[in-house]
Amino acid sequence: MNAVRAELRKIRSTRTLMAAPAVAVAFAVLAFGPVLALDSGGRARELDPSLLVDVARGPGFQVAIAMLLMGALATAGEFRHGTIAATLLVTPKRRDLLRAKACAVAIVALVTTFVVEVVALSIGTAYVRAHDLPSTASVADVALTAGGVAVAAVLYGLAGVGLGLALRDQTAAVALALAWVGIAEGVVPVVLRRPWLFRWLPGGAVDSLLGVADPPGDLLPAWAGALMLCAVAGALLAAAAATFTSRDVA
Amino acid sequence: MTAITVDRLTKRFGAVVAVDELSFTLAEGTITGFLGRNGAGKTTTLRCLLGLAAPTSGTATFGGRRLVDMADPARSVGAVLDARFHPGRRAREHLRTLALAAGIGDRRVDEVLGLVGLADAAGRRVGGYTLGMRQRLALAAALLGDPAVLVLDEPANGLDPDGVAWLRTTLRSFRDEGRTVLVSSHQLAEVAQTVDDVVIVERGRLVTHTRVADLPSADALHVRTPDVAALAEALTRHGLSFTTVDSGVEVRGATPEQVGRAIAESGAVVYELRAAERSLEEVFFALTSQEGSPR
Repeated sequence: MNAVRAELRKIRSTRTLMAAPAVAVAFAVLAFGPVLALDSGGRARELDPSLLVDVARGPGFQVAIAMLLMGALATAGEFRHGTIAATLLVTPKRRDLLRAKACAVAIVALVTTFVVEVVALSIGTAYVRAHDLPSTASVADVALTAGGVAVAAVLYGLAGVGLGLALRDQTAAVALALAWVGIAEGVVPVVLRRPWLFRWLPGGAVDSLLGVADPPGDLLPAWAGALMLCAVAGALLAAAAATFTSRDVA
Repeated sequence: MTAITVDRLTKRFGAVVAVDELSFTLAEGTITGFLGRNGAGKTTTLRCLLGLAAPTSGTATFGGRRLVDMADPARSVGAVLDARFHPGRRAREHLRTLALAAGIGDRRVDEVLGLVGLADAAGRRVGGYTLGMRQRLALAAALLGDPAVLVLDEPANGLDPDGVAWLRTTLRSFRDEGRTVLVSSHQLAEVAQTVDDVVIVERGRLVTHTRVADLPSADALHVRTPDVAALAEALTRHGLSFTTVDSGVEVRGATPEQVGRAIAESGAVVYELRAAERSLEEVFFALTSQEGSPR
């Protein structure tokens, strides 16, 4: 437990690491621009009555990516800055340290999701009330969507921890994460002429968790998406455990 | 009691043997200098001891226990390897994260910051620290758990003369409390003033492990005289080998009686006749050159 608290303190006391959740929260606010833009007459656009579900879903993918990067930075950064030796002198059992880092990133992912959703839904609710818009979104629908964001954020964060510890190279870990999310997931299904392949990739799994299906049949069910992400995060953490426990620390 | 035991430790990196069947033990309450040239295997040995590198064979333990097997490692062993920190983190926060992981309170963080003279700079980000300040911060981290054993790799690097004097005093008081210090260094003159014992390694192998006082002497006699020319002539007549030094001559392989007769014969004024001292550096080079030519 002390190791988890120490890892949380590390994240809190490092600007680079705190930037990820801060950007995620900022996105929750900025994402409203296109969604809630007024029309040229200054009136509220006609919006889907399930607006608040969209609001809860809106920053989901960005929160997940922010947590993926934070996980990678929190682990690979220890090697970049050479702090891993000092860390291991206090917490020499490497599996314990891996668990502590994973727990800390998961906690930050949950807290970030909570803050993002509170900010997003507060603005969304205020907007709906101010413009007297109809809303059919139930609390359960909104909570389910926010829960999907939380699951995606936690699992992407854990994937980042695994990636960073397995690679031990901060630049490579961040570049690989961004290249995968920003390029490969879009390109691979097209190049292979298998558009349906996207549903089996991590990005498709996040979409299924967030309920972003257009048409709905293109994606896995949410539970299957969660299992897919669990498998990806688990595989990366297992790779990290294998390399981190067996290799020397320079 | 044995504080540190290195037993037939071998570490290979591919075809390179960094540490080769190295064995030594350190008793509690001693300061031991761990000496060797660059690449002699000092840092690799310390990394194996601290669990950062896995030995190819053999063991390196603290009182028979590996660091990884200790329930409370920070309270048993403190170490300075390389003084590296996250540049964006403040010094106090760096120590607090380590203290938190070790179950040590924040009060101790402020204590060690004061101890190493960083109390006033504790709120600054480490990226703005000088090398000496980083070294002090690394020492503060090592002292956090008030450990029984300190393992220090080149701890005087970057320290100013005040810092070096402080380090010497701190290590001695640490030893006087019955605790153990293993300090690796290439600053042999500095080490000579601080340590009780030395472990000298070369090419990963043990050259010697002995008390500083028991290191081989120079096997030479120093004659302090203003009449160097006259004495040199007499020494030559007696077939004795010597070298001239600033204050007189050093005669090698001769007894005091032989030198005394040469002095009397030369009529030289002599202020002093004593055994010549060899610096730790000279002893080090003499011992390690027997292991092979210096690299």
